[in-house]
Amino acid sequence: MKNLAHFELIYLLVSRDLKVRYKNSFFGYIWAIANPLAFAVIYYFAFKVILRIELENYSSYLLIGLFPWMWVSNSLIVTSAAFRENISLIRTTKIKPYLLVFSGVMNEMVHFLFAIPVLILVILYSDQSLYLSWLWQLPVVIALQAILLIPLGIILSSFNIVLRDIEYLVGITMTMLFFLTPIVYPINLVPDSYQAIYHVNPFVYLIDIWHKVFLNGYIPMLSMIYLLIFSFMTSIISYGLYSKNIHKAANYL
Amino acid sequence: MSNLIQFNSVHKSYPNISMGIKEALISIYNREKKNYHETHPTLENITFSVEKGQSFGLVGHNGAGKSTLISLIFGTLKPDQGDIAINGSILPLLSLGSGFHPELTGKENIFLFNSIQGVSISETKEKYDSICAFSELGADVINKPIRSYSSGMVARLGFSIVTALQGDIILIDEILGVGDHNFQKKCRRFLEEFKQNNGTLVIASHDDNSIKDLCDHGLVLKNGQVEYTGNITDVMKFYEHNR
Repeated sequence: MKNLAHFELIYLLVSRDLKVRYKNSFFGYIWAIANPLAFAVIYYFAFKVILRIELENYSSYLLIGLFPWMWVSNSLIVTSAAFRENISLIRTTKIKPYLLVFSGVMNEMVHFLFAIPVLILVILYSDQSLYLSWLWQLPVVIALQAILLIPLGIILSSFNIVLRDIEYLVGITMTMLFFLTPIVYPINLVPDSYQAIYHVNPFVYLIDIWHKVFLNGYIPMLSMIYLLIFSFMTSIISYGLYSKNIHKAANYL
Repeated sequence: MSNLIQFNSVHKSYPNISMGIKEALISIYNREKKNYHETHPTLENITFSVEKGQSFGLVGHNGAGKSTLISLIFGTLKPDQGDIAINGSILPLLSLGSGFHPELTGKENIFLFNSIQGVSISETKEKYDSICAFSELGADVINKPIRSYSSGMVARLGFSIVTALQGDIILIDEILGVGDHNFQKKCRRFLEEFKQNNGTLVIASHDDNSIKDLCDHGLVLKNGQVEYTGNITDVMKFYEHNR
């Protein structure tokens, strides 16, 4: 019963944000995917046309990494400020603050869902195969990505209570991580001496899963297990940080 | 157990400066740690209790600590020292309209706000008509985005939603002056009815008259300390003499 109420609140918060952002219009939908598409065009020009990266079907490779990345990056930027921005709500109502993080991640997930048809069109257009197995693989990987992002969002927003500038650092960090994750280039171009960085970056595994699913129709199990372990550990950390810091929110923010 | 709210020598202070990364680094480097860890006390040695069915008024000047006390009762703040026991569910009326979004209609805001307070969608559907009736906002108004509402209408909607919620203790912080005269009377009537059904009220307000009308007990706060506590006539006398 309690959990149902939580789901309902997340649903209402997400639909509020979508309504406010797009006012239920078709152009709203265009706007939702315009941003990642514009980036894709720029990166295509810079890396394919100018730097002449050698990779088949570069446009679909690029988009497969870019759309999930937008979900990652926007979620963490939005959720790191979630408690500060909603401090009056936390002070004056019975809201469970962590639900604000859930709704932030879910909201960006909806944008990602909007983008999937575009992705499939591009894959179709570049004569690559479509897989029936996507029907179960996509929901699994989407769930995996949500499970990865929610604890990270709670960690960042909890830190942001006691150290206010965390939310500003997240934006910069996401830009750096974008280029440290094989999205605009394939991982085999990375020199051996730098491979170590790529082994610890969880988003490398996430993007790898997306590439394998969309280009080859399977989920790489090792990457998946790594992410599950990573999410499990961050969940524990996020629980600790959240319960330690949340009652300070009304003090500091 | 008849005390719904019990405070035993509660202390609460705020950190002086909210820390950024720069301040955190300086405070590690600067071993004396002055400034950055200094706090200013807001409440000191607060002891009082509220029994079931009482209406309790908190009076005091700006900055005396009324809102901090309210936040401690509500539980968004934790005391540094002392104990607080609350034996009942709290219905907060702390700021009308927080949680509302200007782009959503009145109706959508009703569902969202109730959900924030833990009320399910199906429950809200049941109570929807009575909420609208209390607010006296017509069907055409309730389906418009609330950015087109006047501040009085927003407050009406905010108060009306709360009238449909359940709770043992209504906690009010400076919101009694909302809406026009008629609506204020209506709110007053609602609170009187709540009292008659053995509900408990805690009100922080600058409006001496509403405290006198609604409360039977109370306390005077000055510079974070309880100066006087007792029945409301004595409390207000003391307060008026020591302004």
